[in-house]
Amino acid sequence: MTHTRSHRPARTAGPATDPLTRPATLELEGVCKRYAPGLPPVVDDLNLQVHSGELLTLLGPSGCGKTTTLRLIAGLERPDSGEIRIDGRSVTAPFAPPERRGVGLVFQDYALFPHLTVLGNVLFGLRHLPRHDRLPRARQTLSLVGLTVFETRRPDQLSGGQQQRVALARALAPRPSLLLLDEPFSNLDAQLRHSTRQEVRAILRRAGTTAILVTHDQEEALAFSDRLVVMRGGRVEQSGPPHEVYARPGTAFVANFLGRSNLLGGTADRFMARTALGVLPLSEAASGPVLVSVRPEHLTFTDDPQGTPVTIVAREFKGHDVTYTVRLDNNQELLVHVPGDTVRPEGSAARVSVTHPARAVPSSG
Amino acid sequence: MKRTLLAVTALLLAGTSLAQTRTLTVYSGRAKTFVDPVVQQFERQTGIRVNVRYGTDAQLVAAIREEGSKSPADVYWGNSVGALGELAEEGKFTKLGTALTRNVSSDYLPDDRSWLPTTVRFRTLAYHTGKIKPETLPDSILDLPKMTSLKGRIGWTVSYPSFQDFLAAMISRYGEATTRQWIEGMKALQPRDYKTSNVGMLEAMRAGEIDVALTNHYYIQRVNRLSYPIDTYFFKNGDIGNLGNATGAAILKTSKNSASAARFLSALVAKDAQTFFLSVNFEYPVTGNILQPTTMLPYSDVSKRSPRIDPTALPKNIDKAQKLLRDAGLL
Amino acid sequence: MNARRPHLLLLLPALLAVLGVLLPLAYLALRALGAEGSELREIVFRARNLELLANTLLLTLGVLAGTTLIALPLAYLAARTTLRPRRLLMLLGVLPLAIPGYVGAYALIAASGAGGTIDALTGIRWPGPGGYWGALGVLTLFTFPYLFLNLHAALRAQDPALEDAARLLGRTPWQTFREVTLPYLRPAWLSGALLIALHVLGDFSVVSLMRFPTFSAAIYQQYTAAYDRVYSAWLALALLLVTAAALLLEARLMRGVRLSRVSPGGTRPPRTVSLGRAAPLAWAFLGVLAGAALIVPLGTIGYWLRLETNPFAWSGLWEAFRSALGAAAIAAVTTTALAFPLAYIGSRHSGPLARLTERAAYLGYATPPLAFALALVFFTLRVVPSLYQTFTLLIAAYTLHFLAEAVGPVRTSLQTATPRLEEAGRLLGLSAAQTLRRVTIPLVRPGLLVSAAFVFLSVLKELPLTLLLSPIGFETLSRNVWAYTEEAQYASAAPYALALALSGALLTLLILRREDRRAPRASRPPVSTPPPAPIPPVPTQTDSAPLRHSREDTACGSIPRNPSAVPTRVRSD
Repeated sequence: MTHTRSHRPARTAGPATDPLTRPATLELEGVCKRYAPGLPPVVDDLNLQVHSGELLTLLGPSGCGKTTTLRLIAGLERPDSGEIRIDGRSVTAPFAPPERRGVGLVFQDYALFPHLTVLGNVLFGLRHLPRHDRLPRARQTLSLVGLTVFETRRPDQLSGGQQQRVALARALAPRPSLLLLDEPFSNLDAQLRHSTRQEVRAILRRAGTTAILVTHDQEEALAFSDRLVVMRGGRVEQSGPPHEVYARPGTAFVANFLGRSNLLGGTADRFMARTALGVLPLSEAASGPVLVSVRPEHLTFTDDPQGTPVTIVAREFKGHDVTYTVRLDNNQELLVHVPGDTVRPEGSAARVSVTHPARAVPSSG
Repeated sequence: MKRTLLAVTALLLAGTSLAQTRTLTVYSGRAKTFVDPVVQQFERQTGIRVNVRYGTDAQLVAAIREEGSKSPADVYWGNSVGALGELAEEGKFTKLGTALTRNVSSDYLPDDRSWLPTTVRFRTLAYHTGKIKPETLPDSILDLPKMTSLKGRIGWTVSYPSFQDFLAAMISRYGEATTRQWIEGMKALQPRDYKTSNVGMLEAMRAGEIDVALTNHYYIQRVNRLSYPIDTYFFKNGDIGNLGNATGAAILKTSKNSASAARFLSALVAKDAQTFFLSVNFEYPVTGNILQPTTMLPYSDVSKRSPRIDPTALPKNIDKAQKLLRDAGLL
Repeated sequence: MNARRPHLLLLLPALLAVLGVLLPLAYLALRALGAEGSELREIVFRARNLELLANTLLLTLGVLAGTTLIALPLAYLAARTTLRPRRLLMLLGVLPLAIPGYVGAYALIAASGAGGTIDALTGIRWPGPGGYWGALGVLTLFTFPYLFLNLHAALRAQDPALEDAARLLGRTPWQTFREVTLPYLRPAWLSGALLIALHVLGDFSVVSLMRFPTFSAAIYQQYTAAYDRVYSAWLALALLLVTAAALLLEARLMRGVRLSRVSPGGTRPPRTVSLGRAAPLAWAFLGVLAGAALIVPLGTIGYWLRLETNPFAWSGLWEAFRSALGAAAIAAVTTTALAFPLAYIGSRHSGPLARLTERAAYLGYATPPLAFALALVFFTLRVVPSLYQTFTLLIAAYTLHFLAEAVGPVRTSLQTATPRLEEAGRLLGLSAAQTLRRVTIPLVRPGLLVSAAFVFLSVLKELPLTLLLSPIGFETLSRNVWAYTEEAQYASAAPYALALALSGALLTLLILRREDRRAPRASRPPVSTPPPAPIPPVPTQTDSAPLRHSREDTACGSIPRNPSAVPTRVRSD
């Protein structure tokens, strides 16, 4: 049995200063995949680079091809065309089966082996190590995720969060050059999801692992990654650091999908645009007909008679803040996100104003 | 739900009451092929409904014993002297009137008239005509174990009543020790046991599984009709291997229908039934004036070949025979 | 949820089921041990007993190995490969169940040897089956579906992510199969194997026809050939002990097996592999199997049917057919009716009493039918002689014996009819009785139907109980096949065998279709197993959102490089 898996020591590298200067761990070039002839492609001419130590998130709605991309990288699916390289070595020509790729995967439902203990699960991927190294490595990885005391338990005796961490330990133990996480937090309840996410991020950072996270949860994507790739219809819609993508959505789709966004039709002239909310300042210059994206948190209620008159349609109280749905005179509905100290009744009239420069996006479908 | 349950209960009750309707109940150790036509004719002629429980002799004897005074059986129609004798000895049967026994040959009629012979058969050796020359076969069945050339090529039916009757007769004549020795000798030749199925045994002979088989004469007659390469070998006159053995019927003491039962018995020895047994199964009649097919040896001839064994001596040796077979690991 | 403690009225059927089996068995034991000391010693230490024990165990182990060798590859081919049509594979895996062992044995004996069907049609003398290998072969061919159904359901239900995970952790496909898939199949194998073991231990017909002495064959031989019933009773007792040992062994092996799906969430259908160049090999395997288990038996029956000249064989057919269907129908109703309260307690109550109640159903199923019939004969004659040789007793015996087959499907459907629905009924103004009638029973009706169909099929095929307990003059298809086959009158047996095989096949197909519709992704084993099979319930499929492609892009216009790797369902993430 030969293993071409590469095992690198854990690096102590912290968050990268500039990931683009480091070598690419993973490259996808023109990768296509469709499940049956005649069906539309699931992954469509996809190009992607992931750099060493980078935490990348693939974000998109159901059916955008992000999980398929992950499975293509793992070798669980074969691409129809295009090339995938891991550590500069092609794994598509010739096709390398999953066991030869040195890639770890944390499954959405964890896929822990029910017939093995926690320790057995973690040891499962360590067959390539000399016998005396296996146990220390497994225990070391378990301590990384804080589960050493549970090593003799069976998966069904663990809570969801613990199972999640066992799955992570199992994937990390062989020290893969690339770790893939397929919606790993989606089966946890809201509170656990938040804390586990932070833990996992810290663990990956500490181990210096290159990782790709797949999710449809924009909050998760924004919080977790160094770089965000928004996918749609099997293609990359936009890619960049989370704050940048959020602040400057390149398309209406991204604007709408990444956080809730109010999109208004309008006409731009340099740094100003005429919209249903009046003339708004833009963060970047544009001209001609555009869609103007106004974040809900960039709208506020005002007593100023200059404000745009609206009717409050619905109220969603969230504790520290409130999201209102308001209707403009032209019947368009907008979201307004304000601190929750004052309460406006549904059906009442109000005025709103824009607090930050808006962003114009190309008005393509 | 409730309605379904009610319906089922009604059906079950109907089933029970049906079984209790007054009819003549016959326990038959004889096969349906021989019994059914006779029963149907009897029902037509007398209007008495007949229920037949089929089984092997042993099954039915055991059932009658288990059932005791509650036995539903009126008539026991047995395949072997052994089974009939067992029950007779236990006093299960009523003594038959001379009206019934008058016309029946006295050769097989027990002295106490506890049961009525219905047909007579003979034990023989069947052999494959393509593989065995009859002159190479021994004069006596006692010498069969010496035929080492037949090792693995002999068939027998250890569970079959006639076979056990034959062993019982051997015990009566030669004693237990000789019989045990014979069984051991045969066992060394690794015979194939066809349990109770003589037909199956002769089918196997045709298929080439065995060359000789211990069986009753009529099984060979039956397959000869189908031109199987199988023929009859009789041992020397008076040899125990040619044992003549009767089938017979009796009326149970517990019967509440003894008049109908007596009518049934008399029908079995009437000319119609006797001719039927001969024609369908080549069994020898127990009454005179019956024409015989030419392929069969005349009764007078074949009865000379059979040893004279007191039929009443057989039953008490049946248990011994079964024990010998069990000791040998054959039963 | 109802009170923890089930209502006394509901417990009554369970009590009935337990007493109905245990009382006769106790009487059997008394009878066996009641012999005189010397006689008892002689019986117990008979050398023959040891031989019978060895034969019985060897045969059981052999059949388990044989059925595994057939069922595992077949289940894998049907569940995990792209071999098509899958329906054909399923049929091949299930239909042999419609052919009772003694019909199969009859057919294979009548097909082989000089003058047999194969000889007559081709001139090739295929050696006749007999002895250990004959019994092993026939029992294997006609019981492997029990294992197939269990393994197939498990293979379909296994989360493919487990195998993916193993591959990503460095295992080759073969290592993955050995280290992940096989352990996963263990409980399914165990419960299927137990069914087969029970079947082999209880079968007297095939071993008798093949002349291979096991405990069951010996009981039957004693029953037909010896006047003394003590030895029969003793043999039946020994068989009961062997059966109990098998049950304990299975329970022990099953203990600590935890293969329930650990993780929450949806699952994808199992990955299928393309056989590539191995496909002809698979087809050859399927061809041989179909030939031995279906084509040769049915062809032989057809061949002998042509030769049939015995007028009695034909004239009795209609009556036998009617009797068999009548008995099967009534037993199906009584068994399902008795199973309902047991299943209800099992699914709606908890605690040891409820568990015990449900297990009660399996007592009669595990008891070898020949021993049970013998016990019932002894028992009724001594204790309730008015029941002896009545239709009522026969139906009662069927009911107690096949109860377990009816409990499984009813309980499955009760689980879909959750207590919440009953509570909703009550809150909408129905009384408890009305709720049962208008909510619960309509919801479990499919389960009741499946139960009834299983029992119907089983009773139709049943031989030992029918043979020993039928009222006088009650002729069924199975009795006739047996009687004629035992006498090697193959032609006369043919019409009965055909009627049996055809009605069995029809029923099997109906059940299969119904189950298909109910659970399209994994057909459940038709026979519930003593410890309920821990095959994880298959969660309903996660929604498959339509792919959001508005345009056909040219970049991916090429045909997939590996068309055989196309999965059955388009994945959506």
